[in-house]
Parts: sequence; structure tokens; C-alpha cells
Amino acid sequence: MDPRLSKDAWPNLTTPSSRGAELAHLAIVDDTFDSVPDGYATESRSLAEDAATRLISNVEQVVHGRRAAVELVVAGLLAGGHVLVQDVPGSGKTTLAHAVARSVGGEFRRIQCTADLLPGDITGSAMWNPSSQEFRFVAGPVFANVLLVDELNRATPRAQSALLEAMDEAMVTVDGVRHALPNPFFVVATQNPSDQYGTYPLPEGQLDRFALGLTLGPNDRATERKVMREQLIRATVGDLQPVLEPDELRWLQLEVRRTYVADAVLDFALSVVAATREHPNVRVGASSRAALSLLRCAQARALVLGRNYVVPDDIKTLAPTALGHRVVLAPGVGGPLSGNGASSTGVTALGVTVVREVLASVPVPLRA
Amino acid sequence: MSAGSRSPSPSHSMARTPQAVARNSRAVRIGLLVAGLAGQLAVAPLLPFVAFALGVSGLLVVSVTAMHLPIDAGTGRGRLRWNWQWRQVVALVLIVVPGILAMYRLHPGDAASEAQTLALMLVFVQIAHTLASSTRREVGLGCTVVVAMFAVAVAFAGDVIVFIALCAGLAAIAVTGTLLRRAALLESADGSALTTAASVVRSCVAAIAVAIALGAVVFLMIPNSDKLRGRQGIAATGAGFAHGDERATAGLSSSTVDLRARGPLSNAAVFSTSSDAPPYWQGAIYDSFDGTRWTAPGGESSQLWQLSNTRAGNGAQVQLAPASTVVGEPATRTDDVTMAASAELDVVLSPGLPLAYAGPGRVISNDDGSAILIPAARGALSYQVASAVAPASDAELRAASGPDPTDPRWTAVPATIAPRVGDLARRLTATSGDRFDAVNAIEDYLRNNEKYDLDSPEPARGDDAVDDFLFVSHRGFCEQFATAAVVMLRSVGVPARLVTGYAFGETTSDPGRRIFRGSDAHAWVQVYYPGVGWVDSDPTASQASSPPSAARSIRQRVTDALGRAWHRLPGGRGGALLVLCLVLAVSLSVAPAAGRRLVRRRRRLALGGSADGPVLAAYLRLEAELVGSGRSREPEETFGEFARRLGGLAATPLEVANAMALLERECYARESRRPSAAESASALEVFERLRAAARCEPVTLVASSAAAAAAANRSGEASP
Repeated sequence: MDPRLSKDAWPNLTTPSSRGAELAHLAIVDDTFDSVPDGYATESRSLAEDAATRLISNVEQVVHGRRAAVELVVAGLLAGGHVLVQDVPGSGKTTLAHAVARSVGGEFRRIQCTADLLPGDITGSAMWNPSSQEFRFVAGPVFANVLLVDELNRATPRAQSALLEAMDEAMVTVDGVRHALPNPFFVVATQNPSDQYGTYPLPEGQLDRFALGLTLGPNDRATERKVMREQLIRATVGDLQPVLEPDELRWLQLEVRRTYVADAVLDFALSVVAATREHPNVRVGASSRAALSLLRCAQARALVLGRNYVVPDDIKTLAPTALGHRVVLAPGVGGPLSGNGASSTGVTALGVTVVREVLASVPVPLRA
Repeated sequence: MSAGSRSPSPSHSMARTPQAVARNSRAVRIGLLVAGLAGQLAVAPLLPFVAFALGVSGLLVVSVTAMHLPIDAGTGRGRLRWNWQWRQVVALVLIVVPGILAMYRLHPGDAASEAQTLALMLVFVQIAHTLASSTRREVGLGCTVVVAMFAVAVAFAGDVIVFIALCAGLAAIAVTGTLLRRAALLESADGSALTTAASVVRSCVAAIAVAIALGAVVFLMIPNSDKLRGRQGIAATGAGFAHGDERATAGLSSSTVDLRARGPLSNAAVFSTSSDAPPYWQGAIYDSFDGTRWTAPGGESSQLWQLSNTRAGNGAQVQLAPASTVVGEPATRTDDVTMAASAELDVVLSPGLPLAYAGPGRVISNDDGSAILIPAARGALSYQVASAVAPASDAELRAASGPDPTDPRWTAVPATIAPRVGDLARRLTATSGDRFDAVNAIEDYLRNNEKYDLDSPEPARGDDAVDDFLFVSHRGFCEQFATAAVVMLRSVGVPARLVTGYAFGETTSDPGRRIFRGSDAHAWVQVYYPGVGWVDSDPTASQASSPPSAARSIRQRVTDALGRAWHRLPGGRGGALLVLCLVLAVSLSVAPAAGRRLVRRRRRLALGGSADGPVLAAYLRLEAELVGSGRSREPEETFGEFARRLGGLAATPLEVANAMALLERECYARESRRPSAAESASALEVFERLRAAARCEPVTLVASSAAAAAAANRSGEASP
């Protein structure tokens, strides 16, 4: 999904036991998916779980009643993917994104998208430096570990596409020069329902870059009351302290990749993805990238829950969020526009419904 | 969203029952120790060396397996870190094959050396085995070797103490086996792993009872248990077996006939005569018997031979029988004998006492009447032989009177023959009026009480063949029948001797000819009637088998080969018993595992899956119980969702969640990370409890299942 991590060569990983190395060596022969060293000692796994739990509880200090959403965002973060949060304004999506962003240490930037946002405003541009008599590249906000892109669909497609390369390759090209983005690089974007005035629907390719697209939904009364009470006292997001260093996050992302995915689970994920393509209301089903992204997020969820293997539950829980925003509905299903962003609840919601329907029809495999 | 949406607990909280594991391995260790001690007790009556070797091997198996067991139990997967299986195979091949070769090549027929080689081999096997054994199953195989040690002990020592040791050892092995099986069950965590202590005790008691019964049966099966066959048995037979390689070739003039060995009987034609010729064609004559072997007169005392210097051939007739051998004035007859192309003949075959010979080769005649051809005649030759035909009528024989030959060798009975043979003969002939009646009484007794069997057991070393035939095995072929008759006749003072040759033959498509085949080779008795001479008498006569056919010859060839292999085994019957015990033990130890594997495989095939772990198996049993009640898991439901539905019914939600987490771990985790037996135990227990609840109180489960299902489907999702 994210090519940055592949730069970290596996041989650099330390294996806790010679038996692990043995196994890994054997595994390479018959199963490429197994070729990742069996290095997750219980200690490192519980360390990872601790880190993930720490992150989640830190975010939960300011985001109440959204445990599942927080877990999903953290899963996306650990999976090395990017997360798109969409809901009506004022539902707390920026708070959530901000809280996550603040909890992870490192460089944090925020882009507030508007219709006149230029690509250069995102990537940065070459500026004339009068003192040295030359153009100097001034890095834009995209050069950060965590980038919060607020109201992404208010930016023009041209500005949106500037994010594309950044999210996909962790590189930006300005004036023909490629600049590497910091590692880790995590984009959490928010989006308003697209029937509101002055929005540009995200192109499908752009949507596909997001590992997860989640909707928050309304809070219940008690939670809302709690939020109000807190907000009346102070604005809490700014007070959050980072609980993860970028190095730690990189290590966590590696740990995610080492989570075991049994053949049965892999097949289950592929069945789900394949089933979205056959759903009558779907024009274009989830892609192979979607399947990979789903599996990676499932790995991350397994890690968050302290497991070193993925279970079908992970796939099932993540599939609506990981696939819902990627399916392109058939004409007439989601209203006249039929793109991903048509109605007030968002066509994404329709996509999620489709994926749920699909999940109800794919049998869960029992055996490895 | 509530916090409940978090998936059931992380899987670290696997239940371990270290106490159970420890208890288990301790019991197995104690069982092995008892088995090893009993094994040593059993081999104690043996030769010091054998005892030492077996004792060492027993100690080895016990100590090393005891060393291994805790590791086994601890890892749960029943396997040490090092995987030595292939090395084990190589080691066994490298040690066992040369051992067997050494046994047969270096010490052919030497009982003591065979026993020692066997013991050495066992030691090597034990070393190899214990070096390589890393699982409970291999420990079980070690127990099998202990069984083999018992078999060895039984084979070489026939004593009451063996019975006691046998029972004790078998009981110990049975208990160990039961414990091992229970451990394996716990490990494989089958449903029956949840057995109570009472059931284990029950099965142990049953095993001990069976072992004692088995020990009693084996003890009763040991032949000659009334006399000690231990030390002296092995020592005494060393000499007897020095000639174990020799093969008696009945009908040809081999200088000895060994009752312990029987040559192959070919179906090839040997010679043919006119069809009106008498059925018995004698060749070699044997006079001295040493308990297991007959020796021809020339065999060891060549001065008895009279060499006929006349070169036979061109129709010239050679007078054969010395005047001393011809008694009275017998009727003579002359026969033409045509040898088969493939036959080789080194005696003059004649239908009676040979008087004159006309044919190829040179003839040496003996004072007892037999004649040897030098060189042996080969190929399709023919000769004429004139022979004296003894009178056949009973009246003539009854009327026979006169002096017996003075030569004591015709009435010599070896000193090693058990006295009860002579007693039997005297008892049988006590009422006989004359020699004819005595002969008939003895032959009738043999015909009625002994069984003719071409594959009769070989007498054990240390036994005299006659005693063994008459009182132990009751099975034998012509040589045993004839030998027994001769010994019994001699022991009542009747001059008798063993004759080998060909008998009966068969008439062929070639009219007027009677053909004798290799399978017609026969041994019978000649009894001396004063004034008449040596008269053929055949205790086997009415029992001889039917003429062989081509189909039978193949079977016979196979049985011959098997018989030869059987006779080659060390220790005779004891060796056979050893092999039997080994086969039995191996099959007993392998059969349950094979059966389990078969059953599991069938179940797996029925379910269409690849590999069922114990937790999954238990879960599937639960699911099978729920099927039809509408409470079973939907195919699209994950274990987690199902757990939320089942939680709080027969088990607490946490228990169910933990069990399901274990199930998930077994199904989806990397193979090396699957739950161990100890960890699985708790999940198995929960599933069994749920299953029991589902069976007893279906209503309890139904009540909340629908609502729970709805809740479960909603939970774990972030929206709407």
C-alpha cells in the first residue's frame, strides 16, 4: 500500500530466536506471504499493543464516545495508510483528526482547503532569495509527519491532485525536482457531504488513496452532554501531548506488516472484495489496492488488539470503512450525480451499506 | 458507540494448567521406571551378558525418556526443539541391518552368539532410539522394545519367576501405555480428554487384568515349562547347532540326516521305472542316531566300506551285496531305472536290498547293503539293478525266527533320549506277542497320535528331536515319524534302522512307467526279522500327503522359504515367539494412532477442511449440537460475533470470548503460534459445557440468542 515502508529491508530486523530465522528461511520457499520473519516475540507484540492503546486512550481524552472510530483511525495510521473522515460540519471530525495528529509526535501541519488553494500552497514552491540571488525551495505544509487536510472537497481538483503524489509515493515534485516527504507520513483528511455549496467531489482515484473512509455519525445525548461540558471549560485538543515518537510509529508500522495473515483469512478478504464487484448496485467494485489496504488495516487492528494474527473479525469490522468509499455505485443508485458524494448523507454511506450487504453473504472460513 | 464494540479480549490470557501437565508427566515417568525395573527383573535369569546388555538398554530407555518427558509436556506440542526423525531412521538402518547381518553371518547356528548379538543389537537399537526419541509416541515405541525384552526373557528362560516378572512387567507396560495414551489424549485434547480420575483408574485396572491374563497365556504357551531351559539349554545346544547349516537331502547319500533341517523338495523328476515296480526305493541307510542326527555307516567309520573295484558299464554286472547281508534265500527281481535329465544320483536306488548293478559309474557297496555311486551319476542315464525283495506277507513275518544280527549298532539308543520315550515304547509293546505286533503297535500309535506336517516346527535347541516330536509338538514329517519308530523299536530291543529313498511316485501319461520326483523323497524304517532280513516298514504310510501338483509346488516353495526363514530364527521357537511379540507390540502401539489418524482424516474429509485442531474439533461438536435449533453460527458470522451471541448463557461472556479467541488462534494464527494442549484445555472445557447446556436446556440458549445476534451484528462498526 505504502511503498515507503518497503525501503526498510527485512534483513535488518532482528529475529528473537534462531528458530524464527529457521522458520522464516523455510517459509520463503513455499509461501511468500510467510516470508516475513516470525519475529514478533510476545514482548514486542505487547509493547506494540501498549503503544497502540496509549495512542487510543490519548485520543479518547478529547474525543468521547467514538471508540470504534478512534480505533479505525489508529488502525489506518498504523497500517501506514491515510484516513478520510466525512460527516456533516460540526460533528467532531476535525477534532478527531487533530487529536490523532497531536498524539503522534513529530511535525504536524494543517491545510485548510478552499476553492482558491493552489498546488504550490500544499507542496511548497521555489522562492527567489534576493540575498543569495537564487531560487530556494520552501517546503509546503505537506512536509510533515502528520498532515491534517481539512475540508478536502472544498479544494479544486487541481489542488487535490497535488496531494495525490504525496499520498501515494511520499514524494512531491516541484519544478521538476522530487522531494521526499518525512517518514512516517500520515494524512488525515476531512470532508463535508458534497451536496453542500462550493464543493468539488473527490475523483475516484483520489478516494482510492485513502485506506479508510469513515463516517462518524451522531453522538448520543449523554456523550454530547459530556463533550459540551468539557468544551465549555476549555478547548482540549491543543492540550494533548504526543504519546508516540515518529520512530516508535515507524516500528509499529513494521510490526503491523509482520502480523500473520492465514490463507483462510486472505481468501476471506479476497472473497469480500470480489463480492463487491458482483453486487448489482455497484458499477466498479473494490480494487486490488483496496484488498491490500483492507488486509493491511486488518493487520493493524490485530496489533491494536494484541494479536499477532488476523482473524476474519478484523476483515469484517474494517471492510465497510476500507471498501465503502471505494466502490462506485451503479447509475441511479445514489442520485443523479452517482459519484461518491451525491446525497446529504453521502454516497459513501451507500457504499458502506453495499459492503455490509456483501459481508452478510460471504461465508467465514473456519480453517487455516 | 459503546466500549463493548471492542473485540473479545486479547488472546494472551490462554489458560494453562501446569499442574495437570506436571502430574501427567510424573505419572508417565513413574510408569516407565516401573517398566524398566520389571524388565530387568525379567532378564535376570538369563546369561550374565544378556542380562547385562538388556539391563543397560532398559535403563537407557527409562532414563532418557524420563529426561525427555518434562520437556515434552512443557512445550505442549510434544516435540523437542531438535527434529531428529531422519537421523533416527538412518541410525536404525545403520545399526539394525549390520546387526542382523552379523547375527546370521558371523555366528551361524551358534545359539549363545546369536543371543549375544541379539542383545547387542537391542542395546544399539535402544541407544539410537533413545537418542532420537522426542515425542510421546516414540517413548511408546521404547515401551515396545521393553516388551521385546520380555519376549527374549521368555524365550530363553522357562521358569516360574519369569511368569511373575512377565506379569509384573506387562502390567507396568500396560499402565504406562494407558498413562501415555491419556497424556496423548490430553495433548491432542480430544473430547475424551475430559475424563475423570476414576475412569483412568478403571482403565488402568482393566489393563493390569488383561496383562496378567496375557502373561498367563504366554506362560502356558511356553513349551517344556516344567524343565528349566535357561542356562543349560543355551549351553548344551551350542554343539548341536554347529551343523545347523547342513541340509538333509533325503534319498541321496548325504552322510547325515538332521531332524532339525529339511531340504527343499523340488517337483522335478528324478527317475522312472516300470509301473509294476515296488513303491519303496531305498537309497541310503543310516544306523547311528545321536538325538538329532542320523549318520550313515560310512560317514564316520570308512573301514566298513568295501570298495568294488570293478568298473561298471557296458552291461557288465557288479555284484553288490556282501554275503553277510543276504539273509536266507530271498526272491529277486530286476528293474530298469531311467534317470531324468536333470537328476543327479550318488546312491544306487533299488526296490530292496541291491544285489547286482549294471550301469554307469563305479559302485561302492556297504556291508549294510546300501551302494554308493562314484562319481555321482548325472543326466539321462539308465541302469539295471537286481534286488532282493523281502516277503510281504504277515504270516511269513510272524513266523520269522532266528538270531538277530550281533552288531550292537542296530539296537543302539542314544543316551540323550529322554527315558519317557523308552517307557512309551515298552508300554505300547507290552502286550505284543511277537515282533510283527510290536512294530505295528508302535507305528499305529504314531499314526494315531502324531500329525503329519511338512511344515512341522523344528525342535528347540536342547531338546532331543524324538522327545520333542512325541511329547511336545506332535507334528512331524517322515523323518520324525521314522526316527521315532526306530528309536522306540530299538529301545525295546528290536533291530531297526532308518532308510531314505523315494516312495510311491506316480504313474504318468507314459504308459507302463512310474515316475519319482524330488517331492517323493521319503524316509522310512527297516526292521530286522530273523531269517527274513530287513523289511520295509513305514509309520508315515497312511499319512503321506497327496501327490503334488504344479500349483501346490508354488505354494510349497513359498512355505518352504518361509519355513527356512522360520527355522533360521535365533532360539527356535523362542525366536519365533520373540518375533511374534515384536510384531504384536508394534502393531498394538501403532494401531491406535493409525486408527485415530484415519478417523480424523475421515472427519476432515467429511467437513472438507484441511486440518482440524482440537479446539476446532470441539467447536464443531458444539456447532453440530446447535444445528437445527436455529442457534448455530451462520456461515457468514465470525467467531467473535458468535461469541457475543453465546456469551452469558452456559458460560460467562468472558469465558466464551476467551474460548473463541483460542479457536481463532488455532484457526488463523501461524502454525507455530497455535495454542498448546494446556492452553486449549480451557476452551475445550467451555465448549463442552456449552454443548452440554445446549443438549439439556435448549430454551435457555434460545431466549436471548435472537436479540444477541442483532446486537452482535450492530456492534463493532463505526456507524451510522
